[in-house]
Amino acid sequence: MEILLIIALPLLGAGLPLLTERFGRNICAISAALGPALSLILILQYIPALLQHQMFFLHQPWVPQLGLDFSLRLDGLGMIFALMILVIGLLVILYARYYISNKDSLGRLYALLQLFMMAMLGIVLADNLLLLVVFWELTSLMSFLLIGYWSHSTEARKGARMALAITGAGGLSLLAGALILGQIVGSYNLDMILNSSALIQSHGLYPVVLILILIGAFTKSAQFPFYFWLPHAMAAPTPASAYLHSATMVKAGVFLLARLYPALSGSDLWFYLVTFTGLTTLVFGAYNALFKHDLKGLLAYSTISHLGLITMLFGFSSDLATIAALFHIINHATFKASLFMAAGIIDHETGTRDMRRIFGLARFMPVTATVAMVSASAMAGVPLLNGFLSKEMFFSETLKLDQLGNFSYIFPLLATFAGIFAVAYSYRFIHDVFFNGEPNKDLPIYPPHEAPLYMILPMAVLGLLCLALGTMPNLLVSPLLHAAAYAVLGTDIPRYHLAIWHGFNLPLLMSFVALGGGLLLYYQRKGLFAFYERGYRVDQKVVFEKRIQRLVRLAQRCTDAVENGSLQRSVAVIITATLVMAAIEFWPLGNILGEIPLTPIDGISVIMASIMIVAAVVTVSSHHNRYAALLALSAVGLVVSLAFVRFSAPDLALTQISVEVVTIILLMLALFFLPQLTPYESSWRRAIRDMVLAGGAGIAVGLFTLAILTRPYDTGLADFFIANSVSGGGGTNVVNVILVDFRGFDTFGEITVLAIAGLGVFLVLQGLELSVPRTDRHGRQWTRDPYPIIITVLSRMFFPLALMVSVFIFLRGHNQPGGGFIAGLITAIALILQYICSGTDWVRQRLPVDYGRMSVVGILVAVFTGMGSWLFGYPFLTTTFTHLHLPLVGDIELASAMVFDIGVYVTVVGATLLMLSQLGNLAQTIDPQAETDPDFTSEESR
Amino acid sequence: MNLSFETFLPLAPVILLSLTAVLVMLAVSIKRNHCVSYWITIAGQLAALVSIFALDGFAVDRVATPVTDLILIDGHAYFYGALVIFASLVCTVFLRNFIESYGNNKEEVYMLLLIAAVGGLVLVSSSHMAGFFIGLELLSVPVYGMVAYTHERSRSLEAGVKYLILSAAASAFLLFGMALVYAQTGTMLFADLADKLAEHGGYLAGFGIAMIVIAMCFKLSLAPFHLWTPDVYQGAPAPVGALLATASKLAIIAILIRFLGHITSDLTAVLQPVLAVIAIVSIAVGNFLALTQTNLKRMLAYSSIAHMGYLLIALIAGNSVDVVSANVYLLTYVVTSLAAFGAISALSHGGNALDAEEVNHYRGLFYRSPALAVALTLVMLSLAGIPLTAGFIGKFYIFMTGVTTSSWILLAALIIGSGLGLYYYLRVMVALYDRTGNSQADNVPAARASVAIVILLVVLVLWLGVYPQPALEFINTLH
Repeated sequence: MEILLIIALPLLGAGLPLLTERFGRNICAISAALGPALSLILILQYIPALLQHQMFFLHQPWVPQLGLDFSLRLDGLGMIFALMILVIGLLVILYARYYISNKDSLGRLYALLQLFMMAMLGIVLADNLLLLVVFWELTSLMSFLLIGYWSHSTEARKGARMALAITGAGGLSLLAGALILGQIVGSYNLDMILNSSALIQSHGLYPVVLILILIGAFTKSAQFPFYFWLPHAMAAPTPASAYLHSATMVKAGVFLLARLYPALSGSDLWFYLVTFTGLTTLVFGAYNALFKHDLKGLLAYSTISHLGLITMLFGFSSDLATIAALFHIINHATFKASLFMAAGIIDHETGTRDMRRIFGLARFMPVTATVAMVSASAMAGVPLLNGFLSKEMFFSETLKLDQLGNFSYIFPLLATFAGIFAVAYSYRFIHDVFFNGEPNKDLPIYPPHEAPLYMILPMAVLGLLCLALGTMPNLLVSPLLHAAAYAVLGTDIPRYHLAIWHGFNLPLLMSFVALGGGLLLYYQRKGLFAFYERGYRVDQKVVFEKRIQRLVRLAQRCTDAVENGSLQRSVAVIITATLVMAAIEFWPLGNILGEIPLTPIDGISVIMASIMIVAAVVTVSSHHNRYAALLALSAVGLVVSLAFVRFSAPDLALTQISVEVVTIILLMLALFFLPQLTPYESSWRRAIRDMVLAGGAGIAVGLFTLAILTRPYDTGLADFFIANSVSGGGGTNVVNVILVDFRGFDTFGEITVLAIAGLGVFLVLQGLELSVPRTDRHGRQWTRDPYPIIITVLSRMFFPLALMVSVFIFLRGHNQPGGGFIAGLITAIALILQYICSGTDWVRQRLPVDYGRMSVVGILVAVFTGMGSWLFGYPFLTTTFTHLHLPLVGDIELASAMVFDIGVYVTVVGATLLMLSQLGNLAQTIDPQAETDPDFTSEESR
Repeated sequence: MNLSFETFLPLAPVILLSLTAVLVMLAVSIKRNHCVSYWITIAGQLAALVSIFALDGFAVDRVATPVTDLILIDGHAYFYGALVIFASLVCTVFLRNFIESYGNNKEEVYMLLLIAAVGGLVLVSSSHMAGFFIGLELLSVPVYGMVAYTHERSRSLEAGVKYLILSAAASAFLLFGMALVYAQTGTMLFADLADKLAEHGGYLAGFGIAMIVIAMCFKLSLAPFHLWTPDVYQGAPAPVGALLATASKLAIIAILIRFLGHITSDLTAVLQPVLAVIAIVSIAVGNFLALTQTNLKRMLAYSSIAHMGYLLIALIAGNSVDVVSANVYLLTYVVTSLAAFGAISALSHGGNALDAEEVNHYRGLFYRSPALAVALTLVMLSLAGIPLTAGFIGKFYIFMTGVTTSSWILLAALIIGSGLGLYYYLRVMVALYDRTGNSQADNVPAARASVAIVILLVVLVLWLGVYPQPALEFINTLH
């Protein structure tokens, strides 16, 4: 349980500084230090046992479904990292107390630092791989918040976003790798994973796992090519940079390499991936660091380079190299944190971090200068300091490599090359800043002062640590290192000796070459800087910006290309996709035809089909002239009705033709208010696209029809209706019996919908004021005489005839083609003809019917007919029929369904006329008389 | 079949919601009162939600109850039904403040919302093509009206018309597909589909199913059928956007899961690569086009395209439907999306010409409305899938599906897409704390009720992220 406290204390303590902020900075700082200090004490208690290679575990289920347990382990590896995190964390808290100005909230920084500490401790103490990933992402998040701490600076916001985007994405990759690893091993428990090395490495997915996990580690530890977020993260307040971006968070990546070392290392793939990534990063970072003018920029690249060194050591997969890597992690954390603090002090005291502006500070801040010199020397690898020891080990390890055969010398060579640059940039840090002439008077703060004692103290502690570790490694660090190595390597730790003096050997020579070469390089810097400026400059910002810009531009281009809001395009895409699907599904086309043979082609069918095709093509091609298109369209409708006649479906033919007439009239009335011509908007490219799509869709639908028509279909339903039409519904016209009897309920629903649609159109048109065109597009008046006498007279003669036909069709409907619906449409057409030929007012005076009410009455008739059957104890809409013998007329069949059909009839007439007369009404204003008609205006205002 | 009271009892939520819709209509026709309509709507939805629990909707031993052939009530139906009602309930709260300042008739929007919810409920419990179609139309048609409700805004009207036309096209495809399936198999029952398909086989039905799936893809705004999404999300009033992004998508996913579950594996084997391509394209298009959006609604639209792509992975990876993953993912997605749109709604007013939708509106929100800004931050983190938020749990399950089924390409798309996603979600997050930029905000006070709901949702987001155990166990008991 105490292990949990190690993590929990900083979390609990995170709230404290926010609460105590108002009591002053000292109390705030002390309260912030409380949690980490207690954690440190806790962990110190474990050290004796840990040095004896004991391990401590805590197991607490969290989300068992995911395999995510809250399992912690405290072993040697976790211990050195936890110590580093807590010790440097406490020093940073002290440092930040003086660093952060009064303008910014100290409490917030402390809270974030502690939350980060919690997350980081979580990573190093996690015993469950998924838990590790969770904490991993949390460190990215906290780093995001810390980089963005100075929220007013654009630089900070951009840097923060970039850092989180890169490390967060790396985290996702790590998550995927962890999941696959867990699948292979069957558990996310680290113990299980670390003991399954053989299983993992022989598994086919090992390369996938390795690459995914390495991407996670490399993004976090700023390895090439993911390094670029780190220099940008330097926008963070310096305490955060010192803590996160040198000592701890960036070490999470190499920690992961160490943690999974037993499970993943040893393969060739591991060697090549890890070693070469590390090598590239080492050289690249060292080279670039020298040319950075910003103090923190220099340190950032140097951090990248050192992380590359550590990564490379892990890549070597030898036991000694691993120990060297662990040792260098500790050393780097001490000297780099110290140097960051120095950079912060310089920034704090001079107001700038630009090395081209600050010189000769040694005279003004001697203590800082001294400590910085110690730390920088450690970074350079000067003997007697800790950096020298681990670098020496690194050099000797590079000499042992033989994987590349004769080319193996490339490792020591490049390592020395990087060493030379490391010495040069370390020397530059000291020489440029503290010596090199007198400070400029134009510094933002002049003259600079020595920083307050307690600000120097943390830096000095770390500097001293560098010295102490460098001179007394066996006393101070050997046991810890041994415990950590035990955790990584297991029992057989090779014999090694942390000594300052190994005698004259090749590694020592390399060290001296680096030292000498570095100094020489630095003194030749003028030419070199010029070369750097002139030549290929790997300016991370420009490169990244370019990369981002390119991506953004590409995204923008895509966005612009796709986002034009065009409806046609959306439809085109849908149709295209469907056609593609159809093509996939139906390829090859050969088996489209089913087993039913095709009927022979006869002349009439061919003529009708060709008329239909021609009419359809004319409709589309003439659509700019709306009336012409409408005329062509009506031809299609008429041929369809004829086709129904030809294929013995008189009911359908009757319905189709009456619907066709009503629809065309409706469309003509509507088109009347629109411009006669639609503008030509589409380019010829789009026209071709549309043509191809339309053709394709047409052919596809044709093929389906062919496919379906040539397959046998289940005639069960049809047989049932034919067999039961007379006995059950009392009619020989099966279609009508179905409509009013078998499926009467459906018809009932349909007429309701029709009535509602009529009311809807009526309401939408009510109160609408449209400008009524008086002339056609050529400026000719539409008509001089709206109601020509010949048509008027003829139409009046037609009216009674039409009504009679409709009654006839209605009555015969039950047994022969016809019925309420068709009859209703015929009556409606007859009435519309009157409207057209004699005008709205004329009809209205003679036929004062409220069509809205009429359609409702129709529905009510249907309802009551249906309810009538309840009186006799039958369900809704049960029909009965009887035969009545009337003199003169003969045998008449009376079915209750017929009353229902009357309802249908009335509704159809009412709804149709409701729509059409209202549309006609709008057009009526063309008649000058109508405008003055008092009756009409009152109607309108009602 | 004997229809009795007991037959319809499992449909209580549907019936209650329908009655509420009628009640709202009557209330409006008697006397217009925004407050009354609002509270009737809230009460009706709460009653429907309670009825699900009262019916022991989630009892472990509950058996699937068919109500006529069209509807099958089971744990799946109740789970999604409850989510749909929850989403529409939350949208109602968002709507209230938004519509309060709207100059025209306010009350009908609740009626439309209720009808859409009824449609969603019918859809999630359909077990028959007819129920499927009726539910879908009942869900979609009111939404056209809701999208264009603020028709004084030309964008809103345009969005409504666009959605109407394209949706109608999709519905036509759906019907055509159903007809083809029926022509080949002679059944409209999902349950019979597998047997009949095996018996009759044939590619007519195959193509019919493909067309049905295309229509579904359209409704889920999966690429390349996604083109309407950003325009409609942008044009729709923010609370309606919330409905569109959650309740509507939920119901359609629910039916898609059911439908795909009933198809024989032969057919899914044909569909699988097509759907995989659709998923990958959706993830790519959604994330890539979201990168440069400066309009929050459009960004959320593209992000929803990507999220639907992720979800599709759960439905197709390894040739089987991973229902648990899909459910978990949807749960987290719905809660997060509702909160995101809720935040926009809280700052938007129906009376204004535009919603608070530009990222610039949110610049420095932290200093004006800290609670909302923090909530929105967490929402963005959840959308990005950062641990300890709901989004992580959802994404985790999809990852898991991808790994267990060895769908490496899908998994790669998921990782790269999520990585890109981080970038644009963060942009919004960063803007929230930006003190320097010129905020376009007209300093409208955030609506209190909406903010409260958003905070509640965010608490839910955190709860699901930190302690998902109960929710996961619950989802596991459903199937």
